Amino acid sequence: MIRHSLFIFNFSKKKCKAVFLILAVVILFLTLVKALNYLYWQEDVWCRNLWHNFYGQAKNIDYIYLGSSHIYNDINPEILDEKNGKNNFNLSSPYQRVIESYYCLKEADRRNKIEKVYLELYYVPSTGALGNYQDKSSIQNSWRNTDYMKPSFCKIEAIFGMNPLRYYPEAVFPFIRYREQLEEGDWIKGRVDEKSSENYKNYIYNDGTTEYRDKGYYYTTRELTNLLFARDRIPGEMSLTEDAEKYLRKIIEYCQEKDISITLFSSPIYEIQPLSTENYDSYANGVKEIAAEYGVAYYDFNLVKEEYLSVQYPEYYMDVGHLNGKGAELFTYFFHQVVSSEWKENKKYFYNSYSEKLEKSKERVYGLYSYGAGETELEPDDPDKTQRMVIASNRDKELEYQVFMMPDEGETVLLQNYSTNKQFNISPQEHGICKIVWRSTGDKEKTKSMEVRY
Amino acid sequence: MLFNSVEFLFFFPIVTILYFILPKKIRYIWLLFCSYYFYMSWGKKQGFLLLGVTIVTYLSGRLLDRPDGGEIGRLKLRRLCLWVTIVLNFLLLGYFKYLNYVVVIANRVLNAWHTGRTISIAEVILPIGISFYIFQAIGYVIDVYRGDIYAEKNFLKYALFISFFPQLVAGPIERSKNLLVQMGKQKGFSFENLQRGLVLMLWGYFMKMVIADRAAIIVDTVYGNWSYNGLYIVIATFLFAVQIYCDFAGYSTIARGAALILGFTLTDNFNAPYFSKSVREFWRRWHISLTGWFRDYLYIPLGGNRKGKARTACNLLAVFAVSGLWHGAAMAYVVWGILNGAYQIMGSVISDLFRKIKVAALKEKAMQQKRCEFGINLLKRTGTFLLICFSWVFFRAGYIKNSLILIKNMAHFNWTILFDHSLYSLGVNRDYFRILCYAVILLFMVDYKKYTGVNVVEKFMELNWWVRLTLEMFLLFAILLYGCYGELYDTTQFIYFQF
Repeated sequence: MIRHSLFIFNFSKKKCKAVFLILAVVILFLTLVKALNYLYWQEDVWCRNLWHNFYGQAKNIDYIYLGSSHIYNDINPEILDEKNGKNNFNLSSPYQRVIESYYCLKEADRRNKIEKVYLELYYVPSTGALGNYQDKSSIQNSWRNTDYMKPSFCKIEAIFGMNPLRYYPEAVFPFIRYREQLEEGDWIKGRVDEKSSENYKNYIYNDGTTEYRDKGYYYTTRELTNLLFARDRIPGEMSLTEDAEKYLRKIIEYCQEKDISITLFSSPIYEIQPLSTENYDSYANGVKEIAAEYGVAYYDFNLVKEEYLSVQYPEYYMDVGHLNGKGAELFTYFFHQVVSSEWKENKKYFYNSYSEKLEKSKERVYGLYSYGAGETELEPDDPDKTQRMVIASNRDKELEYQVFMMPDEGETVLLQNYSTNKQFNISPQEHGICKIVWRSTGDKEKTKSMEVRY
Repeated sequence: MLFNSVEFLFFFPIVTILYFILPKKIRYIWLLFCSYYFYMSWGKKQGFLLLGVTIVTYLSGRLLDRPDGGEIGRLKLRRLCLWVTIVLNFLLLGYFKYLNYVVVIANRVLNAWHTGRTISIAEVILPIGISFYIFQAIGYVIDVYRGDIYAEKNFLKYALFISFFPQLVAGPIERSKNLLVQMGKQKGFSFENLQRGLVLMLWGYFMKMVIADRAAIIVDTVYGNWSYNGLYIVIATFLFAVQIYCDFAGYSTIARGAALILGFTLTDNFNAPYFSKSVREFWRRWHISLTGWFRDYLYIPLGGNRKGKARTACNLLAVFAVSGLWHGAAMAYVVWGILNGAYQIMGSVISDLFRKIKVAALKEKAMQQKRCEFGINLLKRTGTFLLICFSWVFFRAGYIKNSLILIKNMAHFNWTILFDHSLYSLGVNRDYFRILCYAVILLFMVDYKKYTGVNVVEKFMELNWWVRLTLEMFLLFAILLYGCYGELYDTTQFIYFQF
């Protein structure tokens, strides 16, 4: 009997030792990971604040807004809370791709009883500007969100779903991404200083012009000052990628399966940007078709009539792509007005296509946009001028332009004297001010002008 | 699926957990399934080839083992059966590995004779690890023929012996007497095995990912660019010696660790080879399973060292030439093999010479003094290491012509590169170069212990639990921080996979 008891005691002791050892390994490992993350990981402060705020609101969120940076700059949830009496939350991140929106939606739905989803579809990530979903730049973008998701099966699913196998270590252990800085004292000091700051500890972001407000909203007082834009997509690229379409369908099907109302939309961007694509309708029509297939509303606020939303002025933008606080306020009210009424009733606010909008809106010049490297046809007589500039206006023939180049070093040159031509080349090494004077071909007396720094 | 891939980090724990959950009777079937899954991750067709080799050698084993039949007739039949099996397997190996090489040589001959005709090169993809499992299967058939082991009756167990995933693609080439026997006696879960296995795996990963793959960056830079000369080539060759050792021994160590966790003991394929005092000793410590295979199934049947010195020398050269050819279808590998055989013959001749001129007596006297012993041993080790490194030039360059150019370029010595930071322009920055040096020092410290007969794993297990834990964490984080993997590096294949 005693022997038997002793055997049990020994057996248990052995087992206890094994369990203790395993526990010790796990604890030590996690502690070291935490320490290394502290020392090396350069965090995305915006997304950190966002997810912290999101988990703080858990179980209370009713309406969720997913998408790119346009959401956190353009939509003010406080206004929406007041207007619709629900708890609205912007779960958006820079360049958020549809695949990321899909996993963010799942996480939001898991922790809340979501009634409505508003999915913003910014054309840049949706047309593959970051590459396809297996490309490095695209994958790194997904870490902004998975880094801050709380441990759960949903997080594991998101990591597995967005990262090819070889990226798993970096996706799970952020410090690994900074291995190259391993022995750089300055890097470590920078991280320690950053993480020991009061703003970091208290989840505050305020750089003087931009601050994190509640519910995933960044308020900024910055204003768009220079009306020059380097275009990011060319006409041939303006369609949803296969990946984006696949996940857009998945999101719609997920919502329909879970009985969640879903609305698709595109935020207003300053006109130079859609003009620069020279084929914006191709993208908008692609999204429209999918939305129609599922019977889901899609509102493109870049097709909105000016009499309803007069937001195409630099004072409403912080940069070409994003509204500032003033613009966001204006837009949020209108957004609420649109989405809170029936889809069919809302058609009056919008043009049918972007080309129709250009045709029917008042003659106007918005600024300049430049072509990307390699897109410019070279001028044989002046091979240095390799940068193609285009005057961003909503007319092709009815406006004439006079172009003056005032370089920082050198004399003012009249590049073009009243002509309907909108394109000219400059040297990329040259910097200065470009003055554009324009007039209508029908009324040559009245001129307007703008200056753009290039 | 490479050992250093993320897939394997998922695959292995799943295999292990289910292996121990399943009833003992069917565990080997699970392992067989997993082994084929593992192998077929490189291509489904390759699995059929493996199956074909398994069926042929299994049937051959059963035929050779059959006790009935007329005595003389049976002997002839057995011999015929053995040779048919061996020839069939070598034909298969030859087709996949050497066909195109033969075609290239034939075209050269046709070209030299100005026939104006050429033979087109066939599109043959070399199946991963084919040389390893064919050798293991042939070894089994010979063992059965010799009566050293009974033929395995259970086909599935035999199939597992040939395809056991930890050692399938790059060895060790296991003997039936060791591994096949273990297939029949599968053990239960052991926490001790788990600990030992994990330590072995960690050390294997450290060798592969921290040392071999980092050294490979420098080696590839220098060997891939003819503008490097002198000390660059010398340093790259030293680093290649380290790389190939850590690459192959790293794989074998991971394989041993994985097998141990599952309750199987595999042969230790390396025993501190770079501490050898002669080339002969080096080959007793390097790729032990292959050397043993050639010794038992080729060198000894050829007569070994029993038929006079000239014949012994011929046998040695033949075995090492074949060993070179086993590594790859190129003359450079054959030269590498012959060079290693020649080193050993020269070693025997020199030691005979020394014996004759009665230096031995003087040497013995000197050896009594410890200082001299240390000095002589150091000299021997350095000499052996340099000779081996020289032969690695042929191995790494891949072509004789390239090897000779590299050897010629070594003569342009430029000492300043040691001091002017030029070494850090070879793809590895100063910090990582330093880490590589530390890691190599650690490797040699561990290897020295191994050389002196210490069982490093057992010694490690005797340490206090917290010391063990600290060392394990050190290895794990060294791999995570300094290993070559992930976004910045392409997962590098193990060198010996191509053989």
